[in-house]
Amino acid sequence: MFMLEKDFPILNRKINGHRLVYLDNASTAQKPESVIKAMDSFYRQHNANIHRGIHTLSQEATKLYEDTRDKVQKFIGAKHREEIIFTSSATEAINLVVWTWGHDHVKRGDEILLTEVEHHSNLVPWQILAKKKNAKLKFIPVSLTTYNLQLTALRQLITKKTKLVAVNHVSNVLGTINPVEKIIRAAHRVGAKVLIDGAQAGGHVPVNVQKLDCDFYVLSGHKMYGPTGVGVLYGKKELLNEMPPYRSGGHMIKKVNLNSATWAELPHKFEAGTGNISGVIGLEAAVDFLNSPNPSLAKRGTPSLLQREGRGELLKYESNLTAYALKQMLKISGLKIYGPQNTKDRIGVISFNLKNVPPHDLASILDSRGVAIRTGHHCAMPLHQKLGIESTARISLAIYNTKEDIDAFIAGLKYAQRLLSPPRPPAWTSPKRSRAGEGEMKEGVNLP
Amino acid sequence: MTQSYSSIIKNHYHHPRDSGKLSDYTHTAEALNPLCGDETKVYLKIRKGLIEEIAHETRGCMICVASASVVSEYARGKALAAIKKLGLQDIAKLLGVSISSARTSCATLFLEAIWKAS
Ligand SMILES: Cc1ncc(COP(=O)(O)O)c(C=O)c1O
Repeated sequence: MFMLEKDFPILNRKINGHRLVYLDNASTAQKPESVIKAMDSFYRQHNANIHRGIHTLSQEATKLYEDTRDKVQKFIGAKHREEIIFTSSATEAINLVVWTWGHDHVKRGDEILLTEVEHHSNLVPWQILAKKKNAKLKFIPVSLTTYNLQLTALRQLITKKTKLVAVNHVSNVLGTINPVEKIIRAAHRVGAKVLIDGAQAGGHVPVNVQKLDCDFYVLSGHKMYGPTGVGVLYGKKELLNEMPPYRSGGHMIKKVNLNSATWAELPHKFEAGTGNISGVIGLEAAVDFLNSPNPSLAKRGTPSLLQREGRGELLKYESNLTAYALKQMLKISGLKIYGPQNTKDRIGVISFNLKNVPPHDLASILDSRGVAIRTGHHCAMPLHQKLGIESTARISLAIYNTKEDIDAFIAGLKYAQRLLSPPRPPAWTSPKRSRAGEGEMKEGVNLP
Repeated sequence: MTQSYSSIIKNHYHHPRDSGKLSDYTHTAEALNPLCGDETKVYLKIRKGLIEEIAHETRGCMICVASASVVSEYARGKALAAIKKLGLQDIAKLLGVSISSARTSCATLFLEAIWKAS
């Protein structure tokens, strides 16, 4: 057996009398025991502020915190450890770039290039900046047939006026892995900088920022099995060095006089105040987990392969599970998938709609059977407008999900279809109008 | 608490009553639920404090559409003041199920539009 419940304690939960089937991992992933333990043991054994004291606890806390920086540096292949900045979320990491680099470099008439498939986190801050600076936002379109970005438009879209390109690595709605390498190359040809929003990529696709050659890369700790309240900004050292501080106060300074101050070196310049120390320490455990998952999870792949390839094997496991989910979903009549129907260049984030069953009601029915999915616009309203729908239902897979989870979800879909599809045509004649009393449901309802 | 579904909800969602516009309305307002994208617009024809006619254009989940449908049907001919006093429990009664906390905003969206309109 896999002993998943031991690795991820929350999987022991019963939801409405059923085994929890958690398929909302793109919102936030569940936490392995090792992450919970790391944070718990920090507070029990090592709690102190970092970089401040010379006492033992402070030294221990600082080491744990700074160890995470090394781990994250390796995890995304950054050249220097000080290129890793801890933030409170992916959202804050993006805002940091918008309000430092963006504020300094984007001028009237400049262009910022985004895509039609951005999460509001990588759209709204740029909107505010563009408005303030009288700059122009442009968007790489998405194809409604392949759901891929239409890169043929890049030539016209990237111009000498383009100052910055900000693109998601993996779409949180379509599940597509975007061809960010090509976009980065095209942007650099005109001297534009590139920010990659990797909130959905972290832990699901391999990331190497040096190979990508992106200027900024953003991670969300809580989506990669880490705690909430911690995100990562990677930035090329030379850029981070020339950027002004984002938040100021304690810890980010070198010397302070009554009327002026100078800034600390990287990464401290961008980590003002007391940060989320326990969260960062939890993130270290999450990265460790992703690098060498527990033996119990390893059993789900081929053990020898796992020893050889480690993380790669788990990603393969996820990809196979995605293929299984897509196959089972496509068998359901009236189900439309918004995103590629094969596993090429996509991860297990699958948005869909079911004919006659609105997403929210589907989610309620599934919840009554212990299956957790997400519904709504997933913080991507413009993409939904383009798709011509208000909302979608979405499942998103993680390494603890199993075929049994998919089967439970599919059974729930079928049940919801049976339960909620249209009744026989009603007895009353005009479908447009019915007077009180004519409906079959009035009896017995007596409101005060 | 999980959300249950009644035949009333199903019936009113798939065949919403009073769906459409009123040409001679005296009051109208829209309400939306950014959480799930529900949208409703109510048209009221109010005379001497009575709701003479009511119609709505509602797009969204079953709970939201069915609520607009049952409330419209119930409200016609009643005093506006009385309808404005309706709450979640009344909608639950009209729908024949209790409403889970996660779905409260869906169930009360149409009432919100009526409050806004009048
Ligand atoms: C693509 C994408 N970008 C950014 C975010 C925001 O991440 P965070 O919750 O860490 O701010 C999300 C979260 O849903 C996301 O999916």
